[in-house]
Amino acid sequence: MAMVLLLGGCGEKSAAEPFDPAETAQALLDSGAFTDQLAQISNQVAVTLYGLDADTLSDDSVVYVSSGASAEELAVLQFTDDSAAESAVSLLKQRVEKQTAACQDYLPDEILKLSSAITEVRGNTAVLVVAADASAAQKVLDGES
Amino acid sequence: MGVLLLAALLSVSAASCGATGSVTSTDSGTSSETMLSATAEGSETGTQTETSGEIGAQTAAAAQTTTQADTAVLSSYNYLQSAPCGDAVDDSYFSDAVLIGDSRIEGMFLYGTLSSAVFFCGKGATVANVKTKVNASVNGADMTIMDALAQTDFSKVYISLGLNELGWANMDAYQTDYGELIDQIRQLRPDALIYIQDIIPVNPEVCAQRGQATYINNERIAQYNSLLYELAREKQVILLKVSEVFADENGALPADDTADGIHLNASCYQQWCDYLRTHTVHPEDYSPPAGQAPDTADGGSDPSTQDS
Repeated sequence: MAMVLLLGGCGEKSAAEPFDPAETAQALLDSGAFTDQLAQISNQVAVTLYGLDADTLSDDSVVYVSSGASAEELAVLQFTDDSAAESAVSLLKQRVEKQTAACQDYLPDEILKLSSAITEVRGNTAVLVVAADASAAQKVLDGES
Repeated sequence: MGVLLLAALLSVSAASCGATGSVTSTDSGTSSETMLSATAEGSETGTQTETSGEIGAQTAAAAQTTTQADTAVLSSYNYLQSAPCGDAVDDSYFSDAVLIGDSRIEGMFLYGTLSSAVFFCGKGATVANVKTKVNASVNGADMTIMDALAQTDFSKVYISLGLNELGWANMDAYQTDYGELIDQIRQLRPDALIYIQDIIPVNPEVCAQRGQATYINNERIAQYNSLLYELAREKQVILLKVSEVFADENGALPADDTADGIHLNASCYQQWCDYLRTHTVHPEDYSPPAGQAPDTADGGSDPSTQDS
């Protein structure tokens, strides 16, 4: 019993816990998953970029995108409730589809990254990652790194 | 005499502009010469002075003290030069503006500070595919840039296209198709201010490192920009030489400003936006050339063998 209690106090995050936008974004940037220089965009721009509902998007959301050299990007979005996050995932997937169509002739080397795009929902948060190393990004999201 | 006074006034005004440092001085140094030649050209053709009577320069206050002869010269806008440098407008100036263009304008949407403007732009956009490539969205509906313009109320449009056309076998097609685009915009919004932005240079070393197509080079860009400047004069639209903001002493984009030789880093867009804020013409001082019907499209030409 004591051992179980000790193990329970180790501090590993539950896979079901919502993402902390700032913490998760920084961990992704530090993971080596990206090869391009990404820069942060404002939430106002993110609303337009993804077609989000501005009324449900938290100011704590964090989005980084490429200046145009690649299709790499990351978005860790926090919403007012779980259903808003669920709705956002479909918009994030649409973003990947549009980027894929745009890059077909323009940046064909990016198609592989887009085909490995990660979208996840946890509670009231939703994540999009398009990275050079999707597995490194997934480890971050899974709390393994 | 009146022209020399005007040139002096413009020099003082431009030198105090400050937004583009030595570039401003260069503009003021050449604008007087070009203004003289443009005026002469206008006199020869009889078109520019006839049709640009309502166009005013940024030095409106100075114009009030000039003679009637000077006013006539002031009203001859110099389409071969960039819009005059003046005080920065506030964001409300862009609330009825649409910016259309390629991935560099996409960067301005992402990282720029023109929050009140509307952007219709995307990767691979060209003067030819603005009617065919889905690169815009209106109220959540995806569509071509031209369709998006038709559904949008605007009073100003900023065009930034040319990078993706550098690989075209027929360079003149860029000028032809760009001219048709301007005509089509004028059909949509006859009273709109039309700004055309020239092509910002690339960094050749970084381009080579990143394996960019060899036709993406500054010599080619200079040729395309020459066509653009001539088009500005022909169509009497407002030219913006943003290339001068980003060119180093070799006429190249500094390596620190780009990750791939072509696209600007996020930090550059504030500078670009500042240039747009300080190089405007006021709608009340400008009206499109009177009686100018859009050119009838005569089929254009098959432009591309390869888009970048």
